[in-house]
Amino acid sequence: MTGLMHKDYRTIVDSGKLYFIFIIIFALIPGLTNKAFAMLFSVMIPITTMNYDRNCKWDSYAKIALPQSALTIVGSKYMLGYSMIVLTYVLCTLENIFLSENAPVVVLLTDFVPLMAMAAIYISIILPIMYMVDSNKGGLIAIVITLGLILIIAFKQKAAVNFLLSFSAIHMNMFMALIGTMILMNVLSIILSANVFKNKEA
Amino acid sequence: MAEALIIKDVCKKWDDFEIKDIDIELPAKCVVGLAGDIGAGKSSLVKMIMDVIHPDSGEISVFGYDSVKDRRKIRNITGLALEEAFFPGYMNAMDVETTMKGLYSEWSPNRYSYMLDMLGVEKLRKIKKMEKPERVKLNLAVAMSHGTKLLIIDDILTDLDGSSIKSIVKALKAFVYDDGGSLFISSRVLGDFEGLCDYFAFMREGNLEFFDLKDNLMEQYASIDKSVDLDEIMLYINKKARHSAKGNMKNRNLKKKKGKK
Repeated sequence: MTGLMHKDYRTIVDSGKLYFIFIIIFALIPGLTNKAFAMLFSVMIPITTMNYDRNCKWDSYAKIALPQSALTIVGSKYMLGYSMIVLTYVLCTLENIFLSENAPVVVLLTDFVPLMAMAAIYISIILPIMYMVDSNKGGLIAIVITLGLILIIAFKQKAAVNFLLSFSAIHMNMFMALIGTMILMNVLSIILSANVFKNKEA
Repeated sequence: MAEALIIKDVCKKWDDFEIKDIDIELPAKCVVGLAGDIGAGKSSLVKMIMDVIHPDSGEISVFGYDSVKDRRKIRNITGLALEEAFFPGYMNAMDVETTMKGLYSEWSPNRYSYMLDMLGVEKLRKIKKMEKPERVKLNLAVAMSHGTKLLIIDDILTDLDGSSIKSIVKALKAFVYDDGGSLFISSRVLGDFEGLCDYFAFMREGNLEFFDLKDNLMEQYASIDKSVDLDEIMLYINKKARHSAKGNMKNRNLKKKKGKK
């Protein structure tokens, strides 16, 4: 998997710089909705690398020649997404500690962890769609949905914040339900994506 | 030592095409040239060896490893060089190595560097700036650098200039004669690869028309024309098969007409 992730990180450096800039900008601006934007842009990173792989037919090569299983190849994309979410979380946390007024660590954990979980749930929905739908269509669908979510959050900020805070660890049942849903959806999503990848024609 | 490649009674049926009764046995350290037109089933056979397509019946093994059960082992010792470049355009040969190192347990940096030099591939040139011959050579260098025992090349000769073909043939000779590798060449036209082949196989419309030692084949057809080469023999077999098919159609049509009367 290290080889696959190296290739993806190089793709990000070459083609995903813009998303990185957006992630940094929104992570460092105070406000929960800005953190939500940063998380959504972090999900665009694995989508971008998938589009790039499709364009240079890396997927076909990986399927026909590499010793790695479909699960490993697909899993590397999920790992990329999760690592981007964690990186965004770290940036958000740093902003809150150093730039915003003293935010208790507990609040950071309760507000941002649900945000990370929602981003991971979004990955679990969008990546199988990318694998099921051919070529540029999948990328277009992902971009449209992501931009749509960004617009909804931008125009309905209060509702978005209330929705996010309803899953805060203060409401322990909702928090645990969210974490449980995140884990379950991602496990099923990885299995589904691996099967779709395996059965698609090389 | 186990045979490099055994394809035994392999059949596969699709809606509009069928591969029937393929039997190929390639001893270790030998070379087979599989010729055939586009749509003959050569690439599908390669995909079956690599366990991308599962045959409906029959067995495939590489150095004794089963193509389905030992897929990972086979892919570690089998190099696949294709016509297309599959690496991202922003990469150069050194970036490709960094990626491949993490994917193959027996990646050999020295071997890779040696093959790049032998094939004349610029190590720091980005793939998007490479012309097709250089990309093909890069694919070949990668395919030969991960502890490869069996190298499969699939239609890489198209649109290559003479000097590129020469350097590729030189690299393949080094792989077979110096490193003791086995080689499976799948190509529309064997051309410059002919000199390498120990065995010759010919596929047509999913059927294996011929598989034998090249020397036996040359002996058989050289009685007709002493200067004949493998590609001419393939054309002859193709023509013969087409005439035979036409003859069968004529006979069928005649029988139909007689039946109507």
